[in-house]
Amino acid sequence: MNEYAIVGFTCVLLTPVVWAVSTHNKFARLDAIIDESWANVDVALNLRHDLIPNLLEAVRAISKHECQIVDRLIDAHQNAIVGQAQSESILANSVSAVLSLAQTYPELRASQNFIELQHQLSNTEDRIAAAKRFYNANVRELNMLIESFPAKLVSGGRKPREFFEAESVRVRPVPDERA
Amino acid sequence: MAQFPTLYVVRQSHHDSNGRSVELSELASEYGFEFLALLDSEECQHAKPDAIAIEPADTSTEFENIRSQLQAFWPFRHHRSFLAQNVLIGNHSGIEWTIFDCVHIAGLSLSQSVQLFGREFCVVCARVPMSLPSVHLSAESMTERVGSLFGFHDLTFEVEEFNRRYFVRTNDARAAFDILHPVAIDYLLSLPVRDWQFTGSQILIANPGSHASESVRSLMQEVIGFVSLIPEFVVDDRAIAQTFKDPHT
Repeated sequence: MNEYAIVGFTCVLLTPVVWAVSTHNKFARLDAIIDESWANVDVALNLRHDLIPNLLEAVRAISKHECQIVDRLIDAHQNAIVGQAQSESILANSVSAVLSLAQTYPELRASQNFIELQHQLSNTEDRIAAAKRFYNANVRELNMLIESFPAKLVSGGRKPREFFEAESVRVRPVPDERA
Repeated sequence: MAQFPTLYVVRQSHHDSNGRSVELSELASEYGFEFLALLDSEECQHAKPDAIAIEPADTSTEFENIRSQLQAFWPFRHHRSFLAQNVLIGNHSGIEWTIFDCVHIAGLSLSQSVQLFGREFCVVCARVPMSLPSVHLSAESMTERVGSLFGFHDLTFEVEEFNRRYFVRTNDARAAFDILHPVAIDYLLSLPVRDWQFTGSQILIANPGSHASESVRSLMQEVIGFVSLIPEFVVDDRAIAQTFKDPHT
């Protein structure tokens, strides 16, 4: 009888310890996943940055009078390299503005180089969107865990993380010239 | 006496399948698919009661091909004994299809009192030229909710309605997010809840019950619709080379 009581008492004592350890490990796992998913976002954003010099070259070759829009993209690109979500949004808007020049310049619209760049940008935007969703999903899971009771007790003073809310480039397919 | 209801399931399904066989063979000829009326495992051939009276066919190679093709999927992962009826195999819309009515044999005895516990599925398996992450989308149920409390990890997406309808299990969460993007989620929400499984280069829907050719056609359309929504960058990253070049030649 005594042995059963000891086993029962040990179980009662161990249950919260096991729970605390597993919850603490869950926090650690989520931290690692979030760091990794942020790295994925970064890689995808870098792919966008890599395309911008080529885009600038293609646009400059044809629309020489649109200096203001092009300069804005150059500034936004410089800021985005060192900045965070907000500067990425400005960059995305500037790229969208440059892409919309295709409406004004039929030569740009017909340029094979520009069409190929647009296609690559579209793919890159999909990559960024996917990486952003995965990152935000993990942040949401971590934030919910931090805010929930009793997990909050073993959160180790973690603060909820910020979601990544940068805007995307609006890549529209080049309309057919006949349209 | 206890075996009558279960035998009835199998016998009835076979009886109903005569009409469906004709329909599905017509569907096969429409799409240019190969049609095989019955494939079954050797164990099932031995255990088959006379009442079912299906002519034994020498189809073991085809059956083994299907069995090895499907062994990564539920329910074939755990239960190797099943009957495959009305098998359609062929190419359509750039996808290799294997479609069949499956009577899944859950209990089997080789003794005199044969016991078959049948559960019928319509299985639509599509092989696409890319490597997909292992993802299983099943209807959200009480079992899944209780399981998630005990550590069975369910992916949650930004669309609450999708989370309510589907329980998503995967071994590669990032890749699952790549294929289950917002448009794909909207597409899945526009369809009835089905059991979708992705593994290797295959997509499988195991839909309980038997199906008329029209619903087989619509299941195929659902898969084609989903495949067309897979983002181009996923296709590029995960494409499987169609041909293998021997480096020594």
